[in-house]
Amino acid sequence: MPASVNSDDTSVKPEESGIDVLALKELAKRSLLEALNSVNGSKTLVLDPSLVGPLGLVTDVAFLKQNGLDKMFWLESGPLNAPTPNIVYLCRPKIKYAKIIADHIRKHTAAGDKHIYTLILTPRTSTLISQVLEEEGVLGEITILPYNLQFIPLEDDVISLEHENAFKEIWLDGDETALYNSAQALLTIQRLYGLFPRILGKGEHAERLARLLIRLNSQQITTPGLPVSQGVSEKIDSLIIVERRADMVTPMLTQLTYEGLIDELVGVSNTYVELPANIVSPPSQANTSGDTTSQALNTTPVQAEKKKKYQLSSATDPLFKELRDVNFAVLGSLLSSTAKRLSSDYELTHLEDLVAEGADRRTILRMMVLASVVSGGIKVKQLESLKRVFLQTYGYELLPTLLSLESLQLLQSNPLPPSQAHLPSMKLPFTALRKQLRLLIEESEGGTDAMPNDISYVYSGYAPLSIRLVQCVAQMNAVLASFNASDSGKGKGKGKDVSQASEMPKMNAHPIVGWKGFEDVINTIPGPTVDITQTGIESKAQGPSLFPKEQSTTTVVFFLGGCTFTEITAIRWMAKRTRGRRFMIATTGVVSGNSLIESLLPAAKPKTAKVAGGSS
Amino acid sequence: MGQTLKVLNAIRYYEIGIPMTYQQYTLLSPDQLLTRLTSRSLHLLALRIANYLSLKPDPILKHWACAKIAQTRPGGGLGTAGGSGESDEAVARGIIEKFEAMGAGAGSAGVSYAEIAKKAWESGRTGLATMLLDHETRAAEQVPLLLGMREDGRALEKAVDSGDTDLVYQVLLNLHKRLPLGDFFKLIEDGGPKVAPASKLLQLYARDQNREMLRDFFYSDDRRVDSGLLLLEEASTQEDISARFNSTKAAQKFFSEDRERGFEARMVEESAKLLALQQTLEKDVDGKAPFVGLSVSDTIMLCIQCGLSKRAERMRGEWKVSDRQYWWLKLRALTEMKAWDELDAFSKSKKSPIGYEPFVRHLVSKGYGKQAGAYVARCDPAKRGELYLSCGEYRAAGREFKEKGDAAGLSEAIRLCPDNLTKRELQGLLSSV
Repeated sequence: MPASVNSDDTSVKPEESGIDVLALKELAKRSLLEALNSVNGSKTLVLDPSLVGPLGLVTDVAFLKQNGLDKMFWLESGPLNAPTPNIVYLCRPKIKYAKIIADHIRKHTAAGDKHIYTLILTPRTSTLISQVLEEEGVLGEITILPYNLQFIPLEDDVISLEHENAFKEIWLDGDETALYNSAQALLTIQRLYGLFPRILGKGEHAERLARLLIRLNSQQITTPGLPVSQGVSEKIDSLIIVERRADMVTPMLTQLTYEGLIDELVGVSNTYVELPANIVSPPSQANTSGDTTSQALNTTPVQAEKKKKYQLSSATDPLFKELRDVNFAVLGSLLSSTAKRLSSDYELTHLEDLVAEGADRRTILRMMVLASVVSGGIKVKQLESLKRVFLQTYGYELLPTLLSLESLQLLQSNPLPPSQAHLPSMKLPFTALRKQLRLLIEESEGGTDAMPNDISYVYSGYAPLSIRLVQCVAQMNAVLASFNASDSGKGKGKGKDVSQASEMPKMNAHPIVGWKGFEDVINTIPGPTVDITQTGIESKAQGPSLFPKEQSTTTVVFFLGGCTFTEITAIRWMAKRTRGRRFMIATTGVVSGNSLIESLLPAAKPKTAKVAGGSS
Repeated sequence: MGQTLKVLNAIRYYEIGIPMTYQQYTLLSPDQLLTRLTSRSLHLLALRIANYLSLKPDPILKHWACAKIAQTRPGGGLGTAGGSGESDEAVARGIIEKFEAMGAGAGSAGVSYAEIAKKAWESGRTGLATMLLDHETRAAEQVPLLLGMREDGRALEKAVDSGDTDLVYQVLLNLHKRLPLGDFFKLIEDGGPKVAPASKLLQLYARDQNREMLRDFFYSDDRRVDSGLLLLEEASTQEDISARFNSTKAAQKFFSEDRERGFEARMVEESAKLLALQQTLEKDVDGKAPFVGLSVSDTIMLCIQCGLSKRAERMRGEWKVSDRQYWWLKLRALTEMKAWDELDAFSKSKKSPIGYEPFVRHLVSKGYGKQAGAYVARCDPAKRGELYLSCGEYRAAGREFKEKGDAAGLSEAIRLCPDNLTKRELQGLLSSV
């Protein structure tokens, strides 16, 4: 796929890498085909808008057309005029969709318009949807099938479930469907590559995911006819589960890497950015074959605004591969230093000024969360005054959002009100962690933005807690001290050439020995610590740690609840500095501080009066 | 061939008495033979043959277990063989031990404890069924039977344990259909933290499908904050203003009943008050400006823009808007209106609590650099050069930099300056620094 892989040793050739993402893509494409082929003849596809992006990453319109697709529509309320007898709905199991479908069927029936209805639900069928269809009186009219869409490759080293809002669903709503689907997807990885020899993680939900994975694995043996791999994987050395809730500091900071900044400023969804058409010149690369991907699934009849989608991918844009991980701190460090300063009262007054200026409400909420998490809560009086100003400025309808943040323990008063004091606290011992895990690095110590020698370069001096946790397992030395950059002091210019990174010293990968050496620190972080060794049924005499040094292994890092582009960058940096270990980044989805906050805001009302450059 | 002969010999033995020919055997298939043996209750022989031929013992074990359950029925046929009236515990232990010894049951082969438990339950032995079910590891098998057995609490617990949200919904929807609402709620509340995830899923379902039920659920559980939030959510979708007002007031009542929710209660009260005020304001301007739905700040700004300055002042007092906040609002509103004279008068009305730098920066950010320049002189002298630069006032910036002897500032001004005449002037200044 990536035609432009240059020969520097930082890039990993697909055939060598531990996990072949193309195989996963093929799997997703094939099972889509199976689901569609179960309906004979030409068909009208009615597609869940939130699936358009993910599906565009595994297939394209031409392929669907070859397989009997006649026309495509968004799944949305309003009449549906399908030209074919077959109507196939493809969506996630959401109640609102079931209601729209029921509405279509009833209208067709009333008009004497005969169709054959099929509903393909992803990743699996749902009792809830059947129930709703039954309540709506149309269950008898429709055949329901599953389409098991799991990990979707975003890049060679990133796979994602593209499950939006997993964070909100798991931690605020208490709906652990995303966790269950994650376990199923990881099970598929185990089926392809063998058992994860070791599963590590931190936090209540990381533990639940690990246990679920093990239980599901033991149960699938009883299901006959499935290829089951019960041996321990030789390609993969471990699975590290990072739950988003365990590190809420990192996503609240403004991302400074190229791809992260784009996500901060415009938002990236399913590797695409949407920009006003006049900004984007047509992608005039000589990508004749890749052409289909960049216009994937874009031919839907409904086109809202004059916006153009542009794919950010190293496959379509060779320059992107070089730029995506560079720190663009020159643009101003924005929020990045907030973690250092926010604890002081002065900063909270400053926050009230920002509110008065009418700054983006998401920015304000991110800063409030940072202030609360980093300093272990805000003084009662200050918090109330801040919340009051916030509500007066952005509207009282945001009161539920503030309460959501409170119940997530992301916006707390210090001390807590009596009724909450006994709840299990998720309070992060930030001050202690900051020292023990070296979260804040002076610039001189961390190298320059152009010549980084520590992952803290991604936030110009802040090392993401989430990634430090991964390093505790997979790059222990880096937690204790920065890489020695003594021989590279000469290149202090503002060069943006990241290929220089390849000149940096590499370290041999050490065997995965769990949290060894960091147990004390890890235990100060709320939630259980996970360290499980899987031996498999035909466990070989040699333990997993005895792999020959020559052969590279892959560490799978799974982010439950989403990861940011910057975290991806930081893990890539780790990979560049390690000889003998690759990293596969797996996630429920790519998030940013704004997207996390957005998921907690009330659904946008259809009509909003805008006033005086108002609050947006 | 030798294997087959051995098998045929074994079944022809006089105690068994199946005189089968080789041809019959090959036509029948070994599996069928085993079925015949099990239906004659010759389980031991069947097991041995299966083992000998490396066939799966599962169907035999299942048949055996079912037979054992039927045989050991308490109070069934006095004096019959097999120890009738064996306790549930003993039977369960017998079956489980046998299964584990044969390597069947959960963990490897296809016999599910759930199937056997179902048999036990069908023959009226609920206790035994429950014990057997405990050994079933697949919740998807366990749960439907537990529901059938009316073991509702356990069904819910097992479904939650499985982590499979769809299974939890199966149980919830089944129970909701079958039980009176009160019992249904009680089951969930009594389940405590163990079934908390189910409670959450129920709330999500009800939010979309059955709000009436959700209201009852929160009410029966004394969850005032949630009740209040539900009302606020409804208020936000109501088109009719008086309905919205009433929902908001009702929400306020819920919050005020919780001693720790004084802040929320106050905020909701303020929002009702704001709504009432906004209706009056709309009347005042003959519906020419849309006030309803705006925030306090936006309302104040719109008042200023509609020429209702007195109203704006009064709101400032009623809503305890701080001086700094108010100055910012007025700055933003007047900039939006391009009311430069008014802005100038306002800036001189008293000493600005936010200073004058915000005036410059805000005007520049809105593209009014020329107007912004007028406020630079009132800013901190150390910053004036840079501020003039941001306004595009290169000459003024140059003067400031020169005064401070700031060569770097001057160079920057030269770099940015678009017109050559000014540029030369600035270069002149630079050479004199």
